[in-house]
Formats: sequence, C-alpha cells, structure tokens
Amino acid sequence: MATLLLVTVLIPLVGGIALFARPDLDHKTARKIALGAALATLGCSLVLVFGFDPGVTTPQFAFGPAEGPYGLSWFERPDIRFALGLDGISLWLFALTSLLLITAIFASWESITERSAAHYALLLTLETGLLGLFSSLDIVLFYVFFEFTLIPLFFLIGLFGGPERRRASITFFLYTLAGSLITLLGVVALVVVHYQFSPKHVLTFSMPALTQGLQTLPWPAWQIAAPWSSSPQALIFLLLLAGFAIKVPLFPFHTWLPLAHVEAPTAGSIILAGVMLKVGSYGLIRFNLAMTPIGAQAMFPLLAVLSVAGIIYGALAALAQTDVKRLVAYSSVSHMGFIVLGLFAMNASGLNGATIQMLNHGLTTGALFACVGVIYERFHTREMGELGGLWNRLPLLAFFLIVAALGSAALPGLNGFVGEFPILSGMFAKSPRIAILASTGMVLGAFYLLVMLQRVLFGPLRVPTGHDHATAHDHDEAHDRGGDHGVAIRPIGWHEIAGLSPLLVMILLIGVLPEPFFARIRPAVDPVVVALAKEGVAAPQSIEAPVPAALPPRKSASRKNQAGGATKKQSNEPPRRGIPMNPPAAKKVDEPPRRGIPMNPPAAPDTKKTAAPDAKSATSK
Amino acid sequence: MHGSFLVRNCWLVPFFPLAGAVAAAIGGKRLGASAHIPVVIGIGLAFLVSLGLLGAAGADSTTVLFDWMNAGGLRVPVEFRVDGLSTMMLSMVTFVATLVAVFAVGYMAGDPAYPRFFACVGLFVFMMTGLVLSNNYVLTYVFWEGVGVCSYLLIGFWYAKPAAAAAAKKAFLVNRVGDFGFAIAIFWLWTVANNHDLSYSVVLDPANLKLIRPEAIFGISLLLLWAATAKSAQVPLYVWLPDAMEGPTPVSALIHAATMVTAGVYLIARSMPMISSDPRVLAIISLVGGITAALAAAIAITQTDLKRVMAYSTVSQLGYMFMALGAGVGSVAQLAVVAAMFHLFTHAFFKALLFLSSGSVMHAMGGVIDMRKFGGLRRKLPVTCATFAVGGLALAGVFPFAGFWSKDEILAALKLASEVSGGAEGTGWGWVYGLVYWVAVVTAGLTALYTGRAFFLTFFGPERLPTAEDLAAAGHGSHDDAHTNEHGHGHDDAHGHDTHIGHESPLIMTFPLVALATCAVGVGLLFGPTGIFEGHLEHTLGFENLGHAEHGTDWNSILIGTFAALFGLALSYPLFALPSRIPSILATRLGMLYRASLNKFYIDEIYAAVIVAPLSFLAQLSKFADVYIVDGLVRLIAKLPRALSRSALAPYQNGLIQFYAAAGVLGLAALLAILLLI
Repeated sequence: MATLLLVTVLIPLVGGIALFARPDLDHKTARKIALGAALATLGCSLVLVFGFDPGVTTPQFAFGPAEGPYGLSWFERPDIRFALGLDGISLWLFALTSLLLITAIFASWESITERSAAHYALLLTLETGLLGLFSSLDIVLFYVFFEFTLIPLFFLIGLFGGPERRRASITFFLYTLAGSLITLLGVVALVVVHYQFSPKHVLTFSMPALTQGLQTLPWPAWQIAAPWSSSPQALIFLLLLAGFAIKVPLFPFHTWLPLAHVEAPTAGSIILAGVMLKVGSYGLIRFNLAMTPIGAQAMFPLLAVLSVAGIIYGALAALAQTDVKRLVAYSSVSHMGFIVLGLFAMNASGLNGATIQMLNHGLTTGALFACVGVIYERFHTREMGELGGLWNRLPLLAFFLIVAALGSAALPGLNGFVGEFPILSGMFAKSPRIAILASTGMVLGAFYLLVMLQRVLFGPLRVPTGHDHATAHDHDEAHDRGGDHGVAIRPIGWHEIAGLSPLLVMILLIGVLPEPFFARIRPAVDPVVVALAKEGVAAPQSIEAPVPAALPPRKSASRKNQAGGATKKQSNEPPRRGIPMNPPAAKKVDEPPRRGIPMNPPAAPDTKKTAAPDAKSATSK
Repeated sequence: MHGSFLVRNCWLVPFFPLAGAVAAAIGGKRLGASAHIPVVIGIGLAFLVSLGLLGAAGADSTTVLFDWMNAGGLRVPVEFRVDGLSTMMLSMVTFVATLVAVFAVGYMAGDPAYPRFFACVGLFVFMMTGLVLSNNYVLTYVFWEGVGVCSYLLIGFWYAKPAAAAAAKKAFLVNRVGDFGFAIAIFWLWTVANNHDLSYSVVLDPANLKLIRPEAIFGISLLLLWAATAKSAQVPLYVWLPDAMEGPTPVSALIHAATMVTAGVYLIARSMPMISSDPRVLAIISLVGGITAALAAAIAITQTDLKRVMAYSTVSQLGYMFMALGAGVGSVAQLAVVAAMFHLFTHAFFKALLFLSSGSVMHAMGGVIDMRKFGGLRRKLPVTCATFAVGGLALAGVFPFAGFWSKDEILAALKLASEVSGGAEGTGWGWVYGLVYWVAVVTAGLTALYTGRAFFLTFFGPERLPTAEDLAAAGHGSHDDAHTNEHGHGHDDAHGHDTHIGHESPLIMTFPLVALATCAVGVGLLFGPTGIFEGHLEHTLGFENLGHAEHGTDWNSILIGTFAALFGLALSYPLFALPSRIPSILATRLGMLYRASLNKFYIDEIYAAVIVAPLSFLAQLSKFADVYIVDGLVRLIAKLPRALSRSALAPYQNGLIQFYAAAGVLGLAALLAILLLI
C-alpha cells in the first residue's frame, strides 16, 4: 500500500509531464489524457480510502515501520526523508483533491480549447503538489510541496484567466509567498527548538516525531502561555500563522481571494477554493495546533475574533455582491472562518467538525463554482442582474445548484451541517459569546445563498441577449428547444453532469451517513485535542523557580557554552555579550519581556546551531 | 407481539413516505401523471403503521437505530421514541397527509411538474414524521430544518412566479432566524446536559433536570420558545406564514396549517418537563400566544384573499395553543399541555378541511381566490359549501364541533392558571393569565366573525363568477410561465380551470373534504369529553411528573366561549350574508384601524425598515470596505518597500566613492560604540 500511495501522488505528475512534452496536442486528446490520469489517481485514492484502517492512529501507507522513521531517505544528513503517509486528517483532503480534479477537468471540457495541453498539464501538476502536500510526513517535503503548488496555480490564473488575470495571479502569488516565507521561519524554529531542547537532541524533520517531541519538550519556557510576548510557543505560532492565515484566508488577509477567483478559470477556482484553501486550515491543525498548542491557547482571543469577523464580514460582503462568482468567493471567506473557529474551539467536537468541514467546504464550493462555470459558459455573464429563471431551461443545473447551496448553508441531511454544528457547539463550550456571534453567520449564509438562488433560478426566464445563439450552435450537443423569447440554451451536457454528480453524491452521503467519515477522523484528531487540553503556565515568574531543576540536561548547557557562552544567561548575570548573535529562548525566562522578542531569536540561532550540532554529531560518530 | 413489533420498527413510518418520494423523483418522467401513486401509497402505509403504534402506545419505548454522527463530544444517534405524544402526532400527521395527497391528485392534475410536487410532499411527510418520532434534540433539529426546506421547495413550487420565489425565500430565512435560537439552545443544553447526551429520555429525566442551573433552564427554554415562534408562526416571527400561501393549496393545507406549523407547539410540549419548572417562561409563552392570537385575528377580519384569511386564522389558532402551553403552571401543567395538544389535534382536521375547501373554491374559480371577485357559490359548489361550513363551525368553536371542545379546554386551563398563580402563594404572574383569558375570549368572538365573513362572502349573496380579466390576472398569468417553458408544449392551464369554471370539484377532491368534515364534527366529541385523548397523552415522557389535580367542569368558560362564538357568527350574518352597507360604513368610520388591519399593521414594512434595510446597508458597506479599506491597506503595505527604497535608500546610492567611504567609516564607528558602551 505504501507504494500505491507513492504511485497515486506521482500519476498526475507523469500525466502532466506527458502533456507538457506535447504542447501541440489538440484539446480533445489532451483532455482525454488528463481525464485518464485523473481517473487513475481517483481510483488509487479510493483504494487507499477503502484500505484505510480507522483503528490505527499512526500514519498509514508509509514506508517504514509503524513507529517511524517513515519514508525513504532523501538527504543523508540532515535526515530529511521522502516520507508519505496518511492519517484521518489528511485522508479526506487527499481524496477530495483527487475527486475535485475530475470536476475541474470536466469543467474545462468545452471551455478550454486553446493551449489546452498546457492547461491540463498545469492542473495535473497542481494535483501532484496537493496530494504530496497532504500526504507529507516530513516537514521539509511538506514545505516543498506547499510552495510548489503556487507555481501551477499562478500559471493557471495568469494564462487562462479573465481580463485582469495578470494582476490577479501576481497578487495571489506574492501575497501567499510573503506569508509562506514567514511560515518557513516558524517551521525552521520548530525543528531547531525540538533539536535544542529535546532530551536526546534529535534533529528530526518528521512531522509525527516533531509533534510528539514538542509536546513533551523538557523546556520550561516552552510551557509559558501568558503573556504571549514571552512565550516562545506563541511566537512560533504567529510565525506559522502568517502563511496559513493568508492561505485560509483569514480575515483581514483575504483580499487576494475574490480577485483570484473572479479571474481564475473555472477549473482553477474549483481547485483553489476546494483544495488550496484547505492547505491553510490543514497547516493550522498540523502545525499551529498540534505543535504549538500552548501558543494556540494564548492566541485564542485573536483567532476567535478574526474568524468570527471573517464569518460575518464575509457573509455581509457576499450579500452585497452582484457577480455570482464573487458571491461564492466571499462565501468561502465566511465558511473558512467557521473552519478556523472550529479548530480554535480546541475541543473534540470543534476539531472533528472543522476537519470534516474542510472536506465539506471543498465539495460544496467546488460544486458551486462548477455550477457558476456552467452558467458562464452559456451566457458569458455572471451578473445576477442579467440572469433569472434558469430553472426553467436548466432544471438539472437548478437541482445541482440548490443542493450545493443548501449544503453550503448547512442544511441538515446535507454535508455542511455535520461540520458546522459540531464546530459551533464546540465553540459554545469554549466561549458562548463567540459561538452566538458566529451562529449569526448561519443565518446570513442562508440569506445570501437563497438570494442567489432566487435571482438566478426563480422568476421568469431572463438571459442576456446575443450570447446564447453563438454558443449554442458552436457545440454539437446544442439543439434548439424553442419556446418563448426565442432563446436557445444549450442543455447541460454529459460532461457537466459527470463533473457535478460525484460531488452531489458526496454532499448527500456525508450529510446522511457522516459516521464513517468521523470514525476515521476521530483517532487522528484525538491526540491534538489532548495536546490542546494541556494547560499552559500563566506567567514566566512562576516558572522561574523550577528552572534549574527542569532545565534541559547540563549537556546542552555545556554544549551551548562551547557554541557561544550561553550558560551565563541562565545565571543571574544579565546578558552582556553575544546579544546580537544568539539569545537563546531560555533567556526570556530570566529577562522580563522588556526587549520583547524580535522575530528571529528562535530562528536566528537555528542556522547557527544546525551547523554546530552537525559538527558535534560528526565527532561523536 | 404485533404491537411491539411495530414499536421496534417505528422507523417504517418515516421510511414509507421517503421511499414513495424517491420513487416519484426517480421515476417521475416515466410515471408522468401517475407519479402520485408511490407517494400516496407510502403515506397511506405510514398512516396504517401509525394507527398500529397508536394502539400499542403506552409502551413508551425508544429505538436506537444507529449512530448518526459522533464528532468527539457531540454524539447523535438516530433514535425514535414511541409514546403518547408521538403516536398522537404521527396518526394525525399521516392521516391528514393521506387525505391531502389524495386531494392533490385532483388539484395538481395536469401540472407539468406533477412528479416534483409529489416527491416534495413525500419528502415532507418523511421529515415531519421523523421530527415527531425523534428522541433527540439534535435529531429533532435535523428534521426541523428538513421540514423547513420542504416548505421552501413547495412554497416556491411555481418558481417562475416572483411572488412565490420571494415567499419561499422569506419563509426559509425567517425560519432560519428561529433555527438560530434552536441551535443555540442545543449548544447550551449540550454543555450542561448530563454526559452531553441530548436524548429526550436523558435530558428530560427529572433527576438530570435538577442538575441544570435554573438560569440555564430559563435561557434554554426562552431559546426554544424563540425557535417555536418561527416554526409555529408566532409574534414576532409569524410574518412568513401568510406569504407562504403562494404555494399550491394542498401544501398550504398540509404544511402551513395542519402539520409543520404545529412543530413549534410540539417542541414546547415535548420539552414541557423542563420548561414548566420556570413560571417566567410559561408566562411569556402565554403572553406571546395571546398577542399573536389577537393580532392575527384582527388582521384576518379585513383580508380579501380567502387563503390569507385562513393563514391568519392559523396563526391565531396556533396562538391559542401557545396560550394553553403557557398556562402549565403548578397543578395545571398536565391539563394545559393536554388542552394545547388537543387543540392542535382538532385544529389539524378542521383547518386542513378549510384550506382544502378554499382550494376547491380556487380550483372551481380558475385560480382566483380574491373574495371580492366571486360570491354566492353555495349552489354551484354544494359539497364544498357544506364542508366549509362544517370547518367554519369547528373553527368558530360551536357546540358540538371539534373546535368547541379544545377551545373550551384552553379557556379552562387559562382560568385555572390565573387562579393558581394569582393567589398569595402564587408566582405573581396571575395577572398575565387573567389578561390572556380575556384576550382568548375576545379572539374567539373575532374568530367567529371572520370565519362567518369568509363563509358568507364566498357562498352567500348574489352569485358571481370571476371575469375573464380576473382569470387572466390570477392563476394563469402566474403559472403558465413555468409550465409552458418547462416542457415547451402548452399546459397553459395547470388545473384545467377553463373547462370547468364554476363547477363542483371531482370526486377525488370532494372525498377528502367529506372525510375531513366528518372528523371536524366527530373528533372533538369522541376524544375530548370521553377523556381518551388525555389518557393517551399521559403516556408521554415526563408528563406523569407534570402537576395535575382534579378539576371540575368550568361551566363559566364554556358559556362565555360559546357566547363569544355565537355572537361573532350572529354578527357576521347580517353584515356579510345580506346585502349590507354596514361593512363599508364601518370601514370608513374606523378608517385608520381598518387600513392598519388591511395592511397587516405594517409589520412587514416595519421589519423591512428595521432589519432588512440596515442589513443591506451593512452588506454594501462591507463590500466597499473590502475593496477600498482592507484591500487598500494591503496594497499600501505592498507599496511600502518600493516607496521606502525610492525615497529613503535610493539617494544614498549616489555613486560618490567619498560618500561611501565616509559612510562606511561612520558605520564602523557607530557599531564599535554600541559594542563598547552597552
């Protein structure tokens, strides 16, 4: 099975390379190749999903023994490994990616006719990036995939997007890149902190090992929760947050999203909203919550307020939109707020709900964007003012759109409910006020979605004149149905049905039978909940007493001594020399948060230290 | 045993209609005009099973089917409860639903979306029976929203009609506002409930209820009331129900009169063991009911749309049920719940009857429902006239029709409640019940008056049929858009009006009318004074612990209630049956009041100004703030590096070697100074 996972990740890449190699392929051949690759990937992921053992808590389908180290060795020293594996959190996002790619390909079936080989190649490469990202067990591998996904999406928007595609793609790229780089600092800080303070000074890049190790790190300062400015966890949390908050996107870092969505081609929007946004929330649960749980506790007020603000603000902004696609884009801001809110409820209910909601949001938003694509292809407009009564001519579209919208509005029996309800109840247990505020998003969410349905589907038929005839006769499926207004509207095609119905089936399935999904999520989420339940220490003063006893073993101190004379800082003597280079985080315990903590202290020594320990380990060997 | 087999398999009740709905939806195209068959059979079977359950009631059992979801701490099993309350509701719902479905076979004949209609109806019955059977607050919430969405789909059934589309959206949103309260109530309950178990049998257990703080119970009860005001159309969230009449009439009869709108009453009754411990909440419930009943009756009296009169009447009658529920203080508790549920029960029959009769009128009038456009139909529509009369008498509460018995019980309960809570050892809320009692009496008079008005305007006076313009303006113009477009070939006339304008409806429609009329006469007498209903309801979870005492027959209330009803009816005859100028004179004399009532006291306009307008303003504000402020800030920050380099750093790159050298030396000196001094 481990090989199968590797193969699953690589199939789309192979397909993508094949398509890149033959850029002159006509769109009919290209789309067939792409569909073949995507279907093969989906088939493999389904095998993985059905082969997934819900009882196992360690990552599955990984090379190597169950307790690690996982994967194939990639770099000898430092020990960076090409480690892939899935657990309950990543499993569904992995499957979602392979499913949404089918929808994305079908959504471009007719609309992409030029440079289509490149288009599909980019889509497939993007899929590999995302599959790899979700299945990475190694932090370096994760980051490589994390940044890699930007490239194909940048070109997808930049080459195949709407009139303002250049601005959109550059904004998207720079904004997310800026965030990712700060996240990189956080990631490095995690590795170094773990290396420096773990009992055996293990330099590991394995995500499960890091998660485990950081939770039991024998470093008193690591347990400080408040004030946040003197808590290394909180600072690393903020570093990590930068990139993920932009990816999610968390209010107020969301402004790239509407622009990117409106300009992106339908396939790009489906993947962007369906999967890319989940990268942010996935990162939050994997890193921010699992690795810096006390930092997360310290930052709870900030995150709770931002997500509630996002929920309400996104919903209000969606309510005012007249462009359907923009409306769906803002609805994503609102709904991703729910996911973050669930994560920061920091209890089982909230985390489970948030994790399944990542899948749910991918399905409903993917379906909504696909429906918008269907509309746009026919009428070349997304303005709700120019559309109306489409139910009349496109009853199947109406069906898909209504189910997707109601699913998105968290109607029980459809998938949104099984995510949002636990999220909100979890948050209510944590903070009733926040939960009540967030619940208004439930009402507003129904509001803008129903307004959209009413304008687009209900009422007398209204379509923009002029466009339809041209498109209708372009395609072989099109046939004039006659009727009033003399408007010929191409009925919904088989490929559109094929793209939407799997999503619809999943929306219903999760809504009606969520338990099989939860059963696989729970074991993976439980350790995070346990980690979050651990109380942080309130003030640095209280920790000062046990410092000597609980401090990392002398060895580390002496080693530090060699490295830069850091031991002195642990004595009462105020730090004199060596400030610029390496104020190890331990110092913060002694020193009141006077200097605050510049961005780099955890990171700056890292670069230093990674070199030094290497030398040390070399000597020991 | 037969009974216990049914109890164990009570899931069959929701299952049959669902199966019928699925069959109608999937086989819709092939079945065509016979798409109703699976649904009618499904609902009929559900009714038979319900009857079996009714016989087996007293078992008070729960059946856990499977774990629906388990999100860490929030665990929701699919569990059904068979007890007095649920079997009573089930039998009523499935019985009315069967008759309405049969009626709809005739009423909806020829509609191009015939299968969709029956699929939605089947789905609705599934949801409604599920709601009634559920043994868990979250599961109730699931079906609660489920019936809401069915209502949305059915109100918007004629989607091409803008008014229907708007009404559907309004119904869903107002209900969502109520669901918001329900959801918060569940979250709160979840945090305080024993073992985080939201099963009724756990939450409503007296031992567990004692563990919950009184403030929590107060808050949760108020939130549940909030939820109920939306679903059961009470002040302040009743505004969606009158508009919901844009849906097909069978839908109005089934969903917006007999079944779904009673869900709120059901929820409060179900939670009575919890709610009745707080007299404040009870008083508020009664007050809400009283205000609603009076307000809606005052509006109903001037409406010209027959269905709207019935809609406001429904709101008003639901208000009666709330009044009764609120009267459940101390030793009156059990009596109050029984009175409320009994009124719910009888109301379902006579109101469904009145709606179907209105539908029959509408059918015969080619889709026209404005009472100013027709009149004197008693000869043209003899059966409809008779059944409407029976329904009207029951609604007015005239002896011995069904409404009489239940309304009388409500009055008695209110009277007792005012006595119990008014005394020295009372809760101090006695004045509320005293007030509500008289509101109820006055409203009973108003009810009789508007019922008489509707009846006489429709069936008495000189015979008038709608003109051709009326026909064009009403049914046709609105429907045919959807119809012709949908299949291209012209079913211009959805109901086949043209062929039989002014003729009695076919047998398939009159049969349900007669059946319901029989119930409207009989159920009150059969179940009320005999004590069968009360005895049955006692086998309900937690009801045995509700306060109950022996109460004598309250002859005073019976006399007052009957007098009010007869007075109202007697007043309506000369006013509306005979050619009389008094109504128009009254209308001009009481100009302000009349216009206020005609315009529904401008509640919709007030809501639009107070809630909708500020919300859209906020939405527009967010839209522009997003582009100009939030994104503006981001762009500003993005410009900073470039601006910084241009204005601050670029001048230093001036190409003068001397300057570079000087700067280098100065920098070195500065660094040294820092190192040495600090």
